[in-house]
Amino acid sequence: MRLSGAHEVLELAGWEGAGTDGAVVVLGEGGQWTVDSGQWVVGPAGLGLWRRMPWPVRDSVLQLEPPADPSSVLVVGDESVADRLRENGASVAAADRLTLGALRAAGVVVLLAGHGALPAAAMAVLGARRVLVADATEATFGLQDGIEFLSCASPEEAVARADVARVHPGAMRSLRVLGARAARDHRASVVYPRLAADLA
Amino acid sequence: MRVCFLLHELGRAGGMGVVAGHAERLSAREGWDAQVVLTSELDRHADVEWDFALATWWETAEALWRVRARRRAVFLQSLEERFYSERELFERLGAASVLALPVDYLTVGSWMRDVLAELRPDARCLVVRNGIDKEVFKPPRDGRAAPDPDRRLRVLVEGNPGMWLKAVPEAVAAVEAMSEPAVLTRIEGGLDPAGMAAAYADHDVLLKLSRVEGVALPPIEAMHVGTPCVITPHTGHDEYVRHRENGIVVGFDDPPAVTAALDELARDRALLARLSEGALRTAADWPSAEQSTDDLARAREELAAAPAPAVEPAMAVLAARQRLAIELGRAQLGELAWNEQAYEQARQTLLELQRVIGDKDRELAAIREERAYRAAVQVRRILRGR
Repeated sequence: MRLSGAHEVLELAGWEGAGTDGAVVVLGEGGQWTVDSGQWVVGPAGLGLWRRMPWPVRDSVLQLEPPADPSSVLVVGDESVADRLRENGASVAAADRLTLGALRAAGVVVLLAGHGALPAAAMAVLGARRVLVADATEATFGLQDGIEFLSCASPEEAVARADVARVHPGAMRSLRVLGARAARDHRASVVYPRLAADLA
Repeated sequence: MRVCFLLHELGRAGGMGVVAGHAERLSAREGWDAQVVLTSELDRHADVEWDFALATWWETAEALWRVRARRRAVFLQSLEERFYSERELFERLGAASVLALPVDYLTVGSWMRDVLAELRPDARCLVVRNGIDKEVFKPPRDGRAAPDPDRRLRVLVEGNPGMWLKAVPEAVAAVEAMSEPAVLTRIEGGLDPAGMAAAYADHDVLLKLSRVEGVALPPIEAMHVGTPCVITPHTGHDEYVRHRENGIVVGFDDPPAVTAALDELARDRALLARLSEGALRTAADWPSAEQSTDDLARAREELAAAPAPAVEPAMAVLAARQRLAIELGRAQLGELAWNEQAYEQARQTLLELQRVIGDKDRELAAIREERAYRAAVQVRRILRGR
């Protein structure tokens, strides 16, 4: 089984055990997918998915060191949220997509995908023991708001949740522990062999 | 050895049955006195000094300090805060606080031990897997029921449909969406263990799409009968489910994948047979109820021999967890205040509109009373009459 996705995606969601031939599992998010025979799209939202699921998390991401500053925030998907957090005094980075490098530096990650389901890269954030704020108001794939992550239904709520997480990093301990526990069920070495068995 | 299991109520829930079973089996042993004590009846046991008191549900935790006990522990069958929604902050905090007590812990699943090890590195936690009554849950003497002559897949869904975490409606919908012929049976409770064993034996597969579990008993009970499961990867599933060895693991929130798995089993009876054999192999290695109680007795001994649990690390974790609840509660109250303000603004706007409409109505009525207006109406009627 092969994996198909951008380099940044595979850094977070790849699998050491992936092969170089056989069925191709495409890591997608949103949109309408039309793929060739032998290709299978997995992602949390979109049309033409073979499996509706967040991307698995690369096993090594679960071993990521804690961030130097647990109050530092990374915002993916809405620059205005980053701006408002800066106005509130937060140390904020903003990006169009999550990367391993950006994840390393962040203590709190705001993922705003806009499709209502848990964003595709959410499990990487949880696996790395970062606090996740996400606009997952519909499908959460077994996660619970306030236990493994913080859900937001608007940019205002995203700012409020991220502020709580960065101001009270010690209070986020159970979120980080339970989030990481949930991510272990989504790690690459568990999920991809299952998908490979389904495709066999 | 005197042991009390603190329960808040007596019922047929699986977790209560586990506790009552341990108490009964321990009491049958020489030198043991194990009792289930209802928290509403603590006064009846006020003179008793217990060697070991066990809270069995978060609402029984406070009773640990209302009984006289040499050692105290919590028997964790799930992380109970996960039973509640994000709006039930008090229940969540109460349930989570159980993990921040200066006590020892026993749990039925290794995943809970691992979580506790991270949350409370200071706390001792031993795993005592729930046992299965192997006299009741076993393959039928005359073999499993013959396949349905019409080749319909017999699917069993158990659980209370009113509990969101059991996802029973989703399971029913997945069966109804199958393209292959199937028969669905729903059990919402009320069967004794023998009845459940018979139900498992009468079906080809158990479908369990729970979102939250400690270590769910029905799948492993069904495996003892030779019935495999289609199951979500809820917490505790990996204690016994192996994908395509003794069951099929399907994702959360992916109904088409669940239906596809069931259709595959309906078409591929060889796969179903392999899963059934795998289920029986898994069951063979699972502890019996008696073995489980042996483990509990040993765990109690190990805990009793260790120093009393420290208080300070527990308090630190409790304070942090309280802070999380406080901040999330403040956020909810803030949103509630915003909604109340928005509601009040809308209400004031409505009242203003009603006032304006009232003024206009009165103005209109006054105009209608004027002689000139009445005359104009008369003229119009006359003109129309032409």
